[in-house]
Amino acid sequence: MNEIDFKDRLNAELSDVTWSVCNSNAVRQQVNRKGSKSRKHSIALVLSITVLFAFAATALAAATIEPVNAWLYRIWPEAALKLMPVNLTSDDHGIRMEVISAYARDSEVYVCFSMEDLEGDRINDLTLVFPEAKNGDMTKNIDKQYGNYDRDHGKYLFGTEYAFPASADHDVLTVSVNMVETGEHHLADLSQFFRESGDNIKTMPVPKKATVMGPYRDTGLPETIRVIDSSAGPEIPLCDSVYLSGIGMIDGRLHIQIHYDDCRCQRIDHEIGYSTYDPYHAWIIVKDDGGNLLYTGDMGPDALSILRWGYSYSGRSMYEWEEYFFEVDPGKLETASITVDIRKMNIIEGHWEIDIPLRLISN
Amino acid sequence: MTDSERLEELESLMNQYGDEIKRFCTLQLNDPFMAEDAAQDTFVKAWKFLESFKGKSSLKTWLLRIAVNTCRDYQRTGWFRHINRSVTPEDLPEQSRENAFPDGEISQALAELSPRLRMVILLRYYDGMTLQETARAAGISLATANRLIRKANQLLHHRLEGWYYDE
Repeated sequence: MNEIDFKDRLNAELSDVTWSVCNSNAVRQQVNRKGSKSRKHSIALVLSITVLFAFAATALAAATIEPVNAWLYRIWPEAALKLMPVNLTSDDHGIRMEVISAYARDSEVYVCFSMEDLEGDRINDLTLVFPEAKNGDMTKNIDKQYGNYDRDHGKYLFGTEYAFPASADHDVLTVSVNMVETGEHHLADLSQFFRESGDNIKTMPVPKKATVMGPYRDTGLPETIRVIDSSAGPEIPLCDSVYLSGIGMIDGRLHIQIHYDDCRCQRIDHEIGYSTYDPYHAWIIVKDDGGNLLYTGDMGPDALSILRWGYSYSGRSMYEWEEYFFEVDPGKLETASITVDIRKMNIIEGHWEIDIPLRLISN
Repeated sequence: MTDSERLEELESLMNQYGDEIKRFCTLQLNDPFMAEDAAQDTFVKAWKFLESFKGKSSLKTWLLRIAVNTCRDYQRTGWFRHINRSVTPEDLPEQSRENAFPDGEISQALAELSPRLRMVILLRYYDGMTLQETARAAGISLATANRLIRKANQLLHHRLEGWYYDE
């Protein structure tokens, strides 16, 4: 690699990306708010996802394992056919991690495991974990993953692939999880609010520094786009401090505005720095009377776009406003169902660790 | 370290590394607005943890380690949750990411790499780190860093033939 030219050329391509006075001011503002206190942070958050596929010798229903097995077979057929049962568990905070099966060969390893709540229903379709695998002094995060929630057994199955050289000097593979991300669904029917809003919804220009996700992320927002006036909203409670701030048609697009009133982020400390997690995520579901989604996941004007503004640089609170919009024929909305699913997220910190003798899972 | 010393150090960090951190975040996140937030967050966190910096690595390596963690946080939030959670992050909107990358041969070539490969290549060849510093900043072992860089070089070699010597 021609390193000098690489850096110079990349700098030339990024010549308009520079640290500005505004950036410095934003940092100073935040720093002044925090004051002079500081505290020591410890313990790295272990994140990685290992995907495991249980192919045989499992008590789970075949229908549960099938999607995970099919995924494994597609990406690594040999592993799918040679998975070895492990059946080792680790319990913490009333949650059980079970390594169901695994397979190791040369520089690749598969580990299949499940997470189950022994005390309640904290494990559900929103569960995410970030496992880490260690062999000797080598630690690996996941490369690929697939997950499937077994509603009948209350277990979440994780399958992942990662490249990991299994050393002959270290005969144990240690798989560990230090954090479980869980969630609750809070559903609200917005259809009635939409029908009551009529065509007279108050609008305002898109706030400065709002970020956009979806089809306009690359091209930029059309200048004519307006959003719901956030000062005129009905503030209908959806969940805790999350409100419906407005819903209606603006210029041929359905707009739904959500207000997160000082929603505090959950913070996880790392060895260096920390991570913050948004406590809520909204999921908009708009379907016609045939049960078909009225927006797409593609890049066209009928794809779902999201605008966010009112960020907190302190990291203590998430963005304050979120507006979902997409182009749609108003006629289709007359009989459509409009639902919002506010997903309340929670982090459970713990320690789950399982040692797998490599001789059991190696080819 | 007194408060004014910390603030002074922060100003020095921003002056010295502001552009590099912002560009690193831009290439990692493929979103200029998010990258700006991530870059600012990086310096706020650096100010918070200045006293815990033990000098085991250079200040630049330490700062980039914070940037790497911050970018990972941003990649885990928001929009990515609106997509099928059984799809891996690498399979997610790479198509839209490609378009949001700066125009330019190298930027577009980097856009085609997975976030992980892109990160190690940037740390090694853009930020000029040694292999050891790259591994430390990325939070991975030396062997893993070496392997990822080789893989990324193989992929980039195809795309950027004129930039490679015979090694």
